[in-house]
Amino acid sequence: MLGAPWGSTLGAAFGSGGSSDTQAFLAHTAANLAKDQMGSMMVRWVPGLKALWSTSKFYFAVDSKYVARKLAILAMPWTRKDWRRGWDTVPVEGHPGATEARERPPVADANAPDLYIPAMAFVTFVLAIGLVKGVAMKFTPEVLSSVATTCLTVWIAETLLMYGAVYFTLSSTAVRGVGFVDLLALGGYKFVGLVVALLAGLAGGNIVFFAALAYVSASITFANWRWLSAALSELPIAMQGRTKAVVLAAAGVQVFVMLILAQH
Amino acid sequence: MAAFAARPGPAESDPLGDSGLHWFGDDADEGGMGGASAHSRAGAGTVTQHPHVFDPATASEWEASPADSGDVSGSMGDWAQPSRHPSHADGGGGGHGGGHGGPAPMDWYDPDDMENEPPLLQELGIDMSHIKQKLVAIVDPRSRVNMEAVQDGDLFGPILICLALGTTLLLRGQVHFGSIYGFGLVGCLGMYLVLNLMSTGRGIDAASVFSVFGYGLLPITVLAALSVVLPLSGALGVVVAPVCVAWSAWCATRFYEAALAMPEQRALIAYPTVLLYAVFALLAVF
Repeated sequence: MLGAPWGSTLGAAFGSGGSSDTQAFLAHTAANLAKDQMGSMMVRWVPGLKALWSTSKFYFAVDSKYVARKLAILAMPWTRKDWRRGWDTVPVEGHPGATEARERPPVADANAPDLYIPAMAFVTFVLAIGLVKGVAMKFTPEVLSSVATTCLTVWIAETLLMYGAVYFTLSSTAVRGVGFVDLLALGGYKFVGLVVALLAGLAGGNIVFFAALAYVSASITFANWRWLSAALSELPIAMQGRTKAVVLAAAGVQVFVMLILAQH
Repeated sequence: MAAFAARPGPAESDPLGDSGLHWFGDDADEGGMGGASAHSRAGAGTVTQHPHVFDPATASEWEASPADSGDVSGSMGDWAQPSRHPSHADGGGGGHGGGHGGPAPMDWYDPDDMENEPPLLQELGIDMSHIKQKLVAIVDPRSRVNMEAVQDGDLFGPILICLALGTTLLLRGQVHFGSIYGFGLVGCLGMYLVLNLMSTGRGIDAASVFSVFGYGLLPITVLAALSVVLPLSGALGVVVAPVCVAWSAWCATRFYEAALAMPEQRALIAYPTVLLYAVFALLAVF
């Protein structure tokens, strides 16, 4: 049914089973990848671009409901009970009768990590820094690019650290539960809190800023803890706990680091 | 040519005073020679060309009138045609290049024919009426998006607006052309990636992204112009700047929505647009 090459790539990744939400999204996207303009020129020359593009599409498959739900989770994480990602059983391409489990895309699962929110939050954060500098009459366009570069580097480095921690302290099967991009997304969610804290500080002054910062650090640490636990839950409990503690403490600290960097 | 000169000239009997060109009533062979000699006689101005010979030198004056391609060996009624050509050529050359409304078809224009060149804008494919339509659509947020204007996706209008923004900033003593280009390009690239990654339907191509972005920059240019005369760093800026950013984002979102056909994700398209224009608003205000 999915004859085009990219269609089969996406089809192999997601199959055609699952809830009606997922099904509709997958069918629609897979069919339209065949007409995707990315296929025109670059795909022929850059190997791996097809897979990269379909993977990225997975992380950008969002709609307004998902964004609203996710932001609500990040704002008040203690109210949420179920942190596990949804899975669908899909037929394996080429093996009729066999099935395998695939994760649900963000549009069908509020617990699934996405890259839209982190990317938007990152850019919003850079702009908010620009605004703060502007109000303090210290703005130049170079500020935007330097802050953006610094924060992007810190974000990626932190994700590498987390990925390494999971990989080296747990078995390699664990990293399938939390891939690099998933960790990138989880790390990116803290920018949402940072933006809120910055704007609060702009309106209210230093005390409000640090209070808001403390609150968002706690909430993002908690949320990431829950998400990672759910993703790694098949493993022996002891190892889980230690790793996750280390990893998430690092994430919480990052928040402070970023802000101190950015304020100067 | 010698053969022609040797013909018993009907000049004295020719009601139009043609000097020795006696096509009509002759056999068709004369067509070839008539064409060859017509070339040298083009400058004479009386009769331009034999109808059967396509002469590139004078093609622009030739407005392919159906009657001309008919037979010439025959009716004396054809006498009327030669007199029509000079006036037709003038009218045709002038009216064709006159820039009436929409884009005219690209006829075959002789590069050496200096008098009948199309105007520069038409040759470049820049359609000023479309540009004006789109600018009006931007200025009036309530107007409906003209799909044809969106599909046009021309790049000249946006470039004009970017230059206008840079010039306005120059008036404040800040030379930020490089930043405008840099942020514009990076922003458009990001917008292109985000829009195509999010779209479950058809995608959007890079030229359209840049085109829509550029037109949406007009309210930001207005903001920059305001900042020249008013101090926007204080309370006034807090009101005016978000209004201009929202205006820009509203227009661009409408265009992107029309191009992508994804009305249920309007908020998700609007937000990156807001971010992009907020960058330029920062440039304009601070």
